[in-house]
Amino acid sequence: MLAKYATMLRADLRLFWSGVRASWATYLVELTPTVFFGFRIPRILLQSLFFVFLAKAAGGDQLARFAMIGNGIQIAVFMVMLSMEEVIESEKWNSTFQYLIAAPSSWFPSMLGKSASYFGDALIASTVSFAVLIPALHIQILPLDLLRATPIILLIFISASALGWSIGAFSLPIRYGYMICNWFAYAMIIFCGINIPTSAMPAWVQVIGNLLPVTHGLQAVRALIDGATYASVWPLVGKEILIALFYAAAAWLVFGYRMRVTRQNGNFELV
Amino acid sequence: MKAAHLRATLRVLGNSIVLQVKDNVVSNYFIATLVMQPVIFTIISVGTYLYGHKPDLGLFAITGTGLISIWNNNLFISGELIRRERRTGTLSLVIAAPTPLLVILLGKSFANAITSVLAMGVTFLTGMIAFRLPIGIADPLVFSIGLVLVVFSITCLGLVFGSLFVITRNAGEFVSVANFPVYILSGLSVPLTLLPLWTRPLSNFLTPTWGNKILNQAAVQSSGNMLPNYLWIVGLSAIYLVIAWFLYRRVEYLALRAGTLEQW
Repeated sequence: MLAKYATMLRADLRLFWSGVRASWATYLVELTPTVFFGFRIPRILLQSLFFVFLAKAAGGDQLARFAMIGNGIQIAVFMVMLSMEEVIESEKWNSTFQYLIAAPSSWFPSMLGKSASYFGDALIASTVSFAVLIPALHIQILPLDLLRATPIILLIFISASALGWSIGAFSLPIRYGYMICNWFAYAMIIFCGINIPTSAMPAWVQVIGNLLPVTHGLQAVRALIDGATYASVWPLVGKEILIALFYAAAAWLVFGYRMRVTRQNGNFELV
Repeated sequence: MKAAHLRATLRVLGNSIVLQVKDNVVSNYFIATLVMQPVIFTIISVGTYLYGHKPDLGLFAITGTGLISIWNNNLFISGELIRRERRTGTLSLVIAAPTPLLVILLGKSFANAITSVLAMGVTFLTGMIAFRLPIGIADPLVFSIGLVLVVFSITCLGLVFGSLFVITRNAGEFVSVANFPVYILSGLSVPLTLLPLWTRPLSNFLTPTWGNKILNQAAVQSSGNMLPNYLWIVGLSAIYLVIAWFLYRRVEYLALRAGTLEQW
């Protein structure tokens, strides 16, 4: 019995590793040095810069600092959500969805592996945004405080990824998944308290914000940067973990449902 | 001969506009972009100013967001147009046709700009509904003239970028980068005074800067001499058209010399 589980685990790990290699290969093909340095890095910096400028114009240095922390993370959330949605949707556009259905192995480890390089991409986005804009705009955030909050920042990426996966799974039968995810990611600037605190929002916005990834994690990051202890932000971290698990479970269930229905109907061309 | 040539060019231009408007009307993608982006950006920008206790900048944020949406739609759809022609394999045919590519894309881009004017209405509506801002335009005539001029000028600026989309497959990436510098340098929703002085010449070279000035002035006061701003927009449009004309000729030459578009 134990040997059987060990074999299954080895097979899953192999699938995961294959997914990682595929993800890395795709990443390198898509992001040539020209694209990375010519388009990706400027986009990361300019998007964050625009929203930080907006906050500075509205509320001076204090609000600019608030927006810098939010947008330094949001730009990575934005990218990781779109990438995760694409990981799911690309199975349809590349006509590999039917192979996932037909394969005897579990689809989960391979899909997880295929998402791997995009976590690295998100980390690069946040790092570049903070490393360039904090000194350039003379914003008072200590690098050590940021480093202390890194585990929570990574947790935010994971929970945002789960939302990206679930949007991808829900929107698989339609053609506008990427666009929906794009607007969702922009709308999170409002709902998750990226530029201004959620407490300043109407009650219904706060309710939606509390159900989304990033909101609680970002509050924890802000508190940690301002000197709070991990023990004091634990409730916020716990909520972020629960939300991540909820969206990951939703993505897993819905994607599994899509595969099952497609197998039953035999109409993967329509997905 | 010249009259016939002009008539033919105008016919292509007209057909190109009509075709693109028809395409936009049935495009869920276009409609969603046209509505969603202004709503989200208006809420973010006006909300941030209200939180910072600067409600007087609400109207500035709204007109800025409207121009952001017009520029974004124009640039995004221009990139998408070329990408779609390339995907469907018709880009080579369009370039090989005797009608200059610039004329065809001018029509299509202008159609996008006209339809994206709706975004300005969406931003005003969002400001009124979401924030109950007392929004009124002090000088509707000047505002309308400014809007028409800036839409035409943004179309011309979009053409300059559009020429580059023919010889790159990274139009999507380019669009995502080219948006934000224009927002920032043109002072759309963010004041230009935040920027260092050395950026002013760059701002002056961008037509949304002048469009933003006209629309903001027309929105808050009914007096003031707008002529210098109009002249800037007209002058810049002419410069963009000349640059776009040279770039398209160069791109067409490169494509015809190579005999294929596959290498880009």
